[in-house]
Amino acid sequence: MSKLEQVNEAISTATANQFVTFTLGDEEYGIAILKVQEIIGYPGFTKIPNMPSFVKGVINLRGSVVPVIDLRLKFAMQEREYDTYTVIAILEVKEKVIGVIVDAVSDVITLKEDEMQPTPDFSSGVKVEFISGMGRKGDTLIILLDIDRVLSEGEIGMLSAA
Amino acid sequence: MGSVLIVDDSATLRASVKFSLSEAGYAVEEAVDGRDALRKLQELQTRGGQVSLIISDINMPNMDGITFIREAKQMPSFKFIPVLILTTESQDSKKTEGKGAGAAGWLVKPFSNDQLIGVVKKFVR
Amino acid sequence: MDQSSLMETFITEATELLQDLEIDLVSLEDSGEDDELINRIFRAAHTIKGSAGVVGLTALSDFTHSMESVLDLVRDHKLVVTNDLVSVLLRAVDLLKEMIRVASEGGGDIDEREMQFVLTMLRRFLPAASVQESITEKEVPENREESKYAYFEIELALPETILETGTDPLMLLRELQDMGEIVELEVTTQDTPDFHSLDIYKLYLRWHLVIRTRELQSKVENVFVFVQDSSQIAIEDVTRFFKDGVDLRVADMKLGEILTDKGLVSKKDIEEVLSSQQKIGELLVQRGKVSEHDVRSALEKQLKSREIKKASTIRVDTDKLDKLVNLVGEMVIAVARVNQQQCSMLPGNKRSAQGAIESLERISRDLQEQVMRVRMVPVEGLFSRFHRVIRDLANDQHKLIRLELSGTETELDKNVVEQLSDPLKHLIRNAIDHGVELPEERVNAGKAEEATVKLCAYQQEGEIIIEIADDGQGIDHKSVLKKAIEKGFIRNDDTPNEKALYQFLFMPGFSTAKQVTEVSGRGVGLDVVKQNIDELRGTIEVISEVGKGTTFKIRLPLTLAIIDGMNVKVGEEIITIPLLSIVESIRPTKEAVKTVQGEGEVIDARGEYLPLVRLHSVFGIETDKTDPSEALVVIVESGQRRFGVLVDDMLGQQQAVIKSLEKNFHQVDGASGATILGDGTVSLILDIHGLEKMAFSSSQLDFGHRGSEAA
Repeated sequence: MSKLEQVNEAISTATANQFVTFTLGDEEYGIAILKVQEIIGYPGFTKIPNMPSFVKGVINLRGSVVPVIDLRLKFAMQEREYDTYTVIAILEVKEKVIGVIVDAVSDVITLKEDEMQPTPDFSSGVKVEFISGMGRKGDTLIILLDIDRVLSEGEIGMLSAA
Repeated sequence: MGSVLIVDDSATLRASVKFSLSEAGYAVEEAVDGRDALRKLQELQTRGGQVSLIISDINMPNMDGITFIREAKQMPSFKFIPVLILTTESQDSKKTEGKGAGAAGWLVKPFSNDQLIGVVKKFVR
Repeated sequence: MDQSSLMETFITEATELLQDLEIDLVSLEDSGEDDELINRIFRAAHTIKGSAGVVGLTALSDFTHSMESVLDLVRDHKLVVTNDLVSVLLRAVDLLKEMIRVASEGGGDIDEREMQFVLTMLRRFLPAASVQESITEKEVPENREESKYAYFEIELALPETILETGTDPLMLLRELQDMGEIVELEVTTQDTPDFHSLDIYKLYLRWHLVIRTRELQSKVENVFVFVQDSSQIAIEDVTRFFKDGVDLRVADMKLGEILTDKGLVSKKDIEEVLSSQQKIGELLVQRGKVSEHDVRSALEKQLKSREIKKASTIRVDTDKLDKLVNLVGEMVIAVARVNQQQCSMLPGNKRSAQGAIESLERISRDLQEQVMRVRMVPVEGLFSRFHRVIRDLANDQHKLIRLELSGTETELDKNVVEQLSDPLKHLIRNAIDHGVELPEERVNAGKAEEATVKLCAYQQEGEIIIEIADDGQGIDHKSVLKKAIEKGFIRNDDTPNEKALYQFLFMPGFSTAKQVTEVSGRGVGLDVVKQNIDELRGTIEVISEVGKGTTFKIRLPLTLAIIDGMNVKVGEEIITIPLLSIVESIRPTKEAVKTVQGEGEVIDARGEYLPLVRLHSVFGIETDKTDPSEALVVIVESGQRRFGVLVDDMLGQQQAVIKSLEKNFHQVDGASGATILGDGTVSLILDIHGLEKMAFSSSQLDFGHRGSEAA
């Protein structure tokens, strides 16, 4: 849990160009640190009826009811059992607070301009609209997520209409 | 600086007076009518406080300004607090009535910020 | 505090005042010369005028002034209250509302023609002379070269009692000092009595002074504006006698002459002052000593009793209250949790903790009740608004209607009161449009010419009941039935019972109105009323008798923030069902559950077959308790029907603080919100109406499909 505490401390002194990185399977993803409120452990959740599978349910975050989605399922990746490394990143997206389940949080990194590049073209099937760019740290590729788009109100709104 | 009690049933007028006087550095207390004002004065007194000036409207529900001044002037602790009455031009008789009740002066509505501060300065330094 | 929040204050205040003004004007028409009422009306207009002036809404202020002038005449009994007068005043109120709306939206147009018309109408009531508004002459300032100094000689003899008004003579002198330089100052102490007879509350001093200033004489006079009529004050421009601050006159004068010249040492004057001083002194001794004590104690007594009588009020932001209500609710739950936890304590500790927990529980419940009460307001304000609605509608439709209010002291949550305004207004319009007959029709039917609309509120157990009753023609069953068939709600040969029949009135698109009046032609039907009441978690029913009248009965929960809930278990999930919708719960035998066409299930509940809804399948929750005889059926009632809800088990009752799902998420079908359980997990609150829709609508299969996908 000490990693979690370190990350949370970094979040509280957040600046631009800093990203919280986490893993989904073998891939490394980054979310702009200013979007991340905190990282919490997996508390178990209450299911919401008739939701797409990636909406796992709701949790109680200090008296507020907060929905939680599983990014793996959102990106149509293989589902994975939750374990002690599973964490929830609490994000603020368009004035709503939303929890995102990821495999594990890696680090907080600062990317310089030359370490970032725009999204290249992919073969079909990759949801480029969720990606704001690519980052590089050493040999590691970090996929930078446009989390507003991933969790846009339209998305959430569409869920209720679906 | 001293504090001023504004007694008026109009929340707008109270807010405006409070705004102007606070800007000028006075502390401002509010009361919605004569009865409330008497209560406020006593409440302040029990806390060991006192206002330096009262600005009171005449026509108010529950207890009008004239009655309020009369009652306040009968209480030894409030007797010497100067009271300014708020009048409109059409109420010249009210000025006389107010003075009779013990008001120290008046302020004619509508008044400008400068007029207000000018008059308050006469009583509170 | 700035200009915009000052404007907000004004808008709130003026809106409230106008609302009261409207109510008072309508009752003025009925009561005529009620001095207190007239005074209140006058005061409201007067305050709006003054406040509008403060925030710079001159047009509004001027317009209200015309109204005030008319009201002033009424107050002085120079103008008799007539229907005509009240109508004009009400139109003026409407205009004011419009002007305030425009002001609050920061711009927009006022119907100038209506305004001119109302102004003309108002002026008709004024005597010809006062129509011409007197134009106050602007003071023309005297010219004076700025650099030039003037000298003013001031004689200041203030009244002996001036200190009692709180005026400090020293302030006056200081104010003079601020204007320039006081070049001469003499204080006359002659009138001061010897120490033993000195009254410290009196002023014995008089002043003579000369001030050198650049200000105008009027400005100097202005210093004494509050004291001049009760004092002897002489201000004289003596500039011509002065040179470089020196009084050239004094050169040739003796002191005595100067003093006499100034009228300060006239023996006659002194004698007069002294004798009058004695008199006042005697008065104070005689009256003051005896009565001052009496008066004071009497006054204190009076104040005390008044204070007890008058519940003093304070304005509190509703946001703050909401937070408080929420917190207290959380506390109640936390206490319940502590109570649960004590089971796991050691027996010895348990006993000592129990007493403490019990008292904590009691206190927190009391606290909760008190906090909830803070949000409660009487329905009086809401009800009184309808006097105007009824008056106008009755006038328009040439009907005679009296509005009777009762139970106006009944209290409801402030939010509920606000949200009730529209549905109630609609029901009242409905009663007048469709219920109340024309006077001649009523007479022909053997009824009183004047119809009565009753609006009444009362509390019944945990609910507030509001009834809107008219003594009109009642609802014609046949036309409702015909319309229901026409609209395809039922088949030709259906014979729904009365209660079911009336429910059609609340269906969208249903209207039995024979003619479209101005009000009912707004495209809003009773379905919207029903929707509004649903949103308040209330129910509405109709009781009607042909020829006798119709009553709409609304039941509402006392508060919106907290409900009593029953926690039930379905699979791993704990779901909260509002206690108010639960009729009973049964553990059915195998024989009690029957299928219809192999799919639909019903349950035999005390001889009545009720549809059975499997919560696990509607919500898509996995459970092994799919056999009703091993599980539990909770019989619930929605506005429309009763049905059974199959759950695994019942866990117990708990008060639930309602949390919004929409705040961070969106509305969830079948859930009206969520609550937090004692162990900190979230529990969905079952929305019975929503569940009903999900379970009985044709799209049930679709839901079921998606449900299993989510599981």
